[in-house]
Order: sequence, then structure tokens, then C-alpha cells
Amino acid sequence: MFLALFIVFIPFLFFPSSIFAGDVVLENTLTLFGDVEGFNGPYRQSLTLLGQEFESFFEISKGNHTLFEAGFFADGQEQQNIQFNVNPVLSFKYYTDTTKLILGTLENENRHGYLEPLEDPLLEFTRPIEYGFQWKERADGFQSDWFLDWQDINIVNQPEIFDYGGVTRADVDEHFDLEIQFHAHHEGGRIFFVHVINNYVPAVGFRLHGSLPVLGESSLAVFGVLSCDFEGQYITGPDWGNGFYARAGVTPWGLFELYGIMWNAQNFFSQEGDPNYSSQGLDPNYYQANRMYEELGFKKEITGDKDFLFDAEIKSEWADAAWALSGKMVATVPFNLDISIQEKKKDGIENAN
Amino acid sequence: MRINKSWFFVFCVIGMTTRVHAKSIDWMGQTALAPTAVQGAVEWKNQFTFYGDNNEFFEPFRVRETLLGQQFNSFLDASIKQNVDLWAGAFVDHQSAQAVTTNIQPIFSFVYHEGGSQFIFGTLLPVYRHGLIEPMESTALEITRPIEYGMEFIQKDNFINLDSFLDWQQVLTDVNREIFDYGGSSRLPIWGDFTLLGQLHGYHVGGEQYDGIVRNNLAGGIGLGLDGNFLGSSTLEVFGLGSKDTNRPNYPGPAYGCGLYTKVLICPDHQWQFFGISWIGQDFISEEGDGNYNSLGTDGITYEPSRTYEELGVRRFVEIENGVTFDFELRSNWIDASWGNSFRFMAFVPFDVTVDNKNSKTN
Repeated sequence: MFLALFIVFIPFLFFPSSIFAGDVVLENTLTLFGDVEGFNGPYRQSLTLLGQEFESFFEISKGNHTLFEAGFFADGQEQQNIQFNVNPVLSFKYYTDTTKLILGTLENENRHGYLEPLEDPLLEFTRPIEYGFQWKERADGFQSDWFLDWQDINIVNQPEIFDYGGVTRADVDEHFDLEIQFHAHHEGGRIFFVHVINNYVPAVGFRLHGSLPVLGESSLAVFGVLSCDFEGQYITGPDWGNGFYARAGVTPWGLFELYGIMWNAQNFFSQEGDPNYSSQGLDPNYYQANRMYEELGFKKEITGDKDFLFDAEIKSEWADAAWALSGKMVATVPFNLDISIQEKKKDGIENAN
Repeated sequence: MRINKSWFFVFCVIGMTTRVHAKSIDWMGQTALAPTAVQGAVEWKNQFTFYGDNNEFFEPFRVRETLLGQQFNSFLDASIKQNVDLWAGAFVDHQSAQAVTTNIQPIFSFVYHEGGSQFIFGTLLPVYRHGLIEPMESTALEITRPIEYGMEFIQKDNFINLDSFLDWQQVLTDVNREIFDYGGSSRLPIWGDFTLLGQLHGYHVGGEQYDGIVRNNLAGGIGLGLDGNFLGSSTLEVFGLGSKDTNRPNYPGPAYGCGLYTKVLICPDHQWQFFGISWIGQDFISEEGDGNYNSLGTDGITYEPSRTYEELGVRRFVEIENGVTFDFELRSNWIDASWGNSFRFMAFVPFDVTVDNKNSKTN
């Protein structure tokens, strides 16, 4: 626990000092989504989500290297008596040309870049907002995103729950990247002496990508994945598991992406991963040591020069011998407003923004 | 309200041990005056605080816990007279978690200020626990109780460095006892680099309107501070503390206790601080003090009359830009014979806006 917090936190120690001032922007994003998960057991239940999310916050720059965000995030499921779940957005961000350090509300788009076996894509709708701290790097040929996401605090009859980890990718050349991923999930807390459980899932692999005749933008990702529960145990199987993940995609004539995923695993379990990749079934007594999973899908993205993003996906899935059809649609509309506010400076001089 | 005699001596004791111009490093946790609006102006003051605090203690004296979250206070500071300000706004605390209740509390204060004196009535925004050292008030209170309600008197000038307060925590009802704490800290330069230090903290549970327990905890003491230039800027502080605890149900220890607190601070520059703390205690208990200094365990049963505690730590404090500051502290803790570790980080982001400056006059 201490080590995990401390390692993610080391870069915060080396803030340099400088002085400048900046702008105030009201950032708003409306997201409409629908997701249908066709499988109904033994690994996951069928599910239909249809809802909307709205995020609105002030982004206030404090200079050339720091800004903070304050606002709210609301999401609700489509129904007659819609009820919105509202969470605060409070972030402190320190940034340079290549580094971003975040405290508070995290940037978790695309699940930090995780593969499906490590984090379930459904979390983009069911856990759209995360709190903790984060370290992001983006430089030529290198990008990294490491974080700690605090989910539950330790109170009576409730353990503390947090997950942490990250993704680092280094470009070997224009078409070949090496990548490591790590995800851990912790349940524990000593205040009320709750049982401690840890789940660790590392992955290492490579990505090939480039443009091919007719097939357009094409990619191949291959990863070896491990899982372990050697401190506490979630599953009925052994402590250690492993899996092989491959994803290939092509974009014929640039119309849409046609992709396929292949997964072959032995005793694999990730607490926050897509359950279709896991050896543990929904029923604690259902356990399948050797797992196969395949997916074939179409994906289409339409973007309008930062005005909107429309993303539609339909996929055919084979989990062992069973088959199901799933799909999702997401429409995202951002709109930002510049606000004129004068910040009072320490020495009495005001900054016109 | 039922008050024991010692309550009346609070401000007297602190006042007696106060005066003068201690040479100090501001970010080390000294008394600070609350900033007030320019005369005649209305200012919208905001402060965002992002915090994380983790300790790995396995001894029975202090709860092992992790705090991670964000706080935000936002209020209008209206200068209504030459020396009078009114504050009105709200404080928000959100612990980092998916499903937690966001705590919202009002900020309403009357502030009278003149020179280095300041009297605040209503909501208090304490800085560094009013200057109280760890055995008197736990550092965790900076995160768990960042605002208080009551009254505070601060004096900070060449003659005095004082922060005294009364913090009302709970009103008396038929189901709740009234609870308040009070006290303060003072610094009195006496000769050269020597400073006479005073500390007092009281905690009261009572109320006469309804039957129920009445109990008091009082801790205080005096100390000596020495400022020097060893490896940069350095300070040595030694305190002799005493405590008295009365009417605590099933309390296994004696009413009176004592302790010796020594702290060394070395600041090679304005961003790094290295510190060490040594504590020897005998039946000492301060209700709101760091549990690692107390003889009574958190379970209310464990009791160790003779206690030792040591701490070594490093702190990094930096102003990044425009008042944005970042504070990180890493500690190694020895609790009697066992070892623990802890750390804390806090980022403070102020954002003040002048709302109405039409009537502003030159001070």
C-alpha cells in the first residue's frame, strides 16, 4: 500500500518554481451512450445500458505549469423517472510539455489504455469518473499513464478499495511499439480489520501498425498476460494464471475498422477485467481452468473537427463454445466557453483573462 | 455550558508566554494572520486543497488510515469598515471514492483586524492546528477538521506571536453532549536566538441542561526554542508538557501525566526541511493529540504508562507559481519498540477575485 502510493507519487516531489497567470474556461461535455452485452453467463450477465453523462467544470489556469478544475459530473440511465448521480470534479494539474501530474479527479479516457482482460470496457460507462492521483508522460516515441484510483473508503463493514497501475508504450520505430501494462486491485483497510485481498495483473507485448494497400490503417497487438492473487484470494482456482492476447484490425478503404481478438488463457483472473477473459465464473463454484475467447467486430468513428465524436461498434463473441452478439454507440458533444474573470494577485495586481 | 477553572486561565497563560520577534521560517507552521480584503472592496476568495495522508502504524495507539481527497472553500470577503470584514461562503470536502457523501459546511465570519491583531468570530480557518505541536493536536486534524466554528484571537507582530481559539464542535441536545476544545500556542523571544514557547489545549464534554457525563482533558506546557544556522536554517524546540484527564469512563490511568518533547528542524534551503522528534511520556493523554504520544490506546483499554516515540522526516515545500504550493512529507516513525512509516502530500491552489472594488480606498 505504502509502496504503491509512494512510487506513483515520486514525480510530484520535483516541482520546479516559476510565475505566470492564465485563463478561465468553462468546459462542458455531453455524452449519450448505449451498450448491449449479449452474453448471459456463465462469465457475465447480459446487460443493456442506455444513458447520458454531462460534465461541466471551470478550468482555471494558474500560470504556465498549473491549473485546477472545479465542477461536477452527472450521469443517469434513460428511463421515465430519470435519476442523476452527481459527483464533483476537482482536479489539480501540474504540466510541462511532456509531463502531466494530476491530483483529484483523474483523466481516464479509454480506461487508461488497458487491454480488455485487464479492465472491462464497460467501466467507461459504469465508472466514468475516478479520483486519486495520476502521472502521464507524452513525448516523441514514448507515452505513459500511471494512476491510483480510490474507489471506496474504509468504514464499518466496508473495506477500502482502490485500483492502481498503468500503461507505458515506447516506439521502437515508426511501425513497432513495445508496451507494458500493469493493473492491481486492492481491498483491505486496517481501521475495521477487514480481510485484505490483492489482485495483480501485468502484461507485456508489442504493437505493429501502419497503412496497407486496400486494407488501410492496420494494426496487430500481441500481449502475454499474467494474473495472481497471492495475498488473499478471489477465485477458486490457483494463485497464478496466464493468458495470450492478440488483436488485429484493418480499415478497408478507410470506411470502418474490422477487427478480431483472440484470447487463450489458463487460470486467468483480473478483478476488473472483462469477465469473458476470466477462468472464474459468476457462480463461485463455476471454474474453467482453460479458457478461449474470440471476438470479431466492426467499429466506426465519425469526428467533426472537435465538435462531436460518434463511435459505433458491433461485435460477435465466442466464449468457449457459446456465442453472443454485443454492441455499443457513443455520441460525445463538447462545448467550451471562455470566461472573463480577473484574478487578484498577491501583490494587488490583477490579471485580465 | 459547564467550564472548569482552568478554562478561565487559557488566554492568560498563553498571553503570559507571548511577546516579540521570533526568527522563524514561515512554512514551518508558524502563526498566520488570515488575509483580509482591501479596504472597501469585496473579494471572492477560493482555495482548493488536494490532500493525501497515509500511515502504516500497527501499534494500538493510533489508527492506521489513508486519507485522500479534495477540499474547497469559497467565500466572499467584504470589507465593510476600515477594520472589519465579513466572510460568507461554503466549505466542501470530498473524499476520493466512488460513492461518498460530499460534506458541505457554511462559512460565516466576523473579522476585526488592526495591525498585527485579528479577532475572528464564526468560522475559523486554522493554519497548522493553531500552532499546536503533535502531542497536543494530531496533524491529521489539518485534513479531517480544516474548518472550525467559534472564536479566535491572533496576534502576530514584533512583540507577539499568538494564536488562541475556542472551537465549538457539538451543541448540547437531549441526545448529544456539548463538546468544544480550546487553547492556543505562543512564541516569546526572550534573548538572542532563544524563544519561550507556550502550548495549551483543552477538550470539554459536558452540558448542564441535560444529565450526562462531564469530562475534561487539559494538556499544556512551556518550552524553549533555539534558532541557529546549522546546515542552513535550523531550530531546536524542547517542551515540557503536562496533562490532566478527569471523569473519563473506565480510564485505566492516573489523572495527571507528563512528557518531554524535543524537535529538531534543519532547512538547507527554502524548499527542503529535515526534522526529528523525540518524545518520552508518562501517563500523558491529550484528547486531540496524536495517539502515538498518548498512554491510552485507541481501543480505550490498552494502556502503557511509559511511552517513547521518535520520528524522522523530510519535507519538501515549493511554491510552483502564482500562490500554488505543494507540500510533501515523508516520515519514519518508531512507536515504542516498533517501526512504522507515513507520508502526506498537499497541494494548495488559491484563486481570489475582486468582485467589487468601486468603493475601495487606500489603506
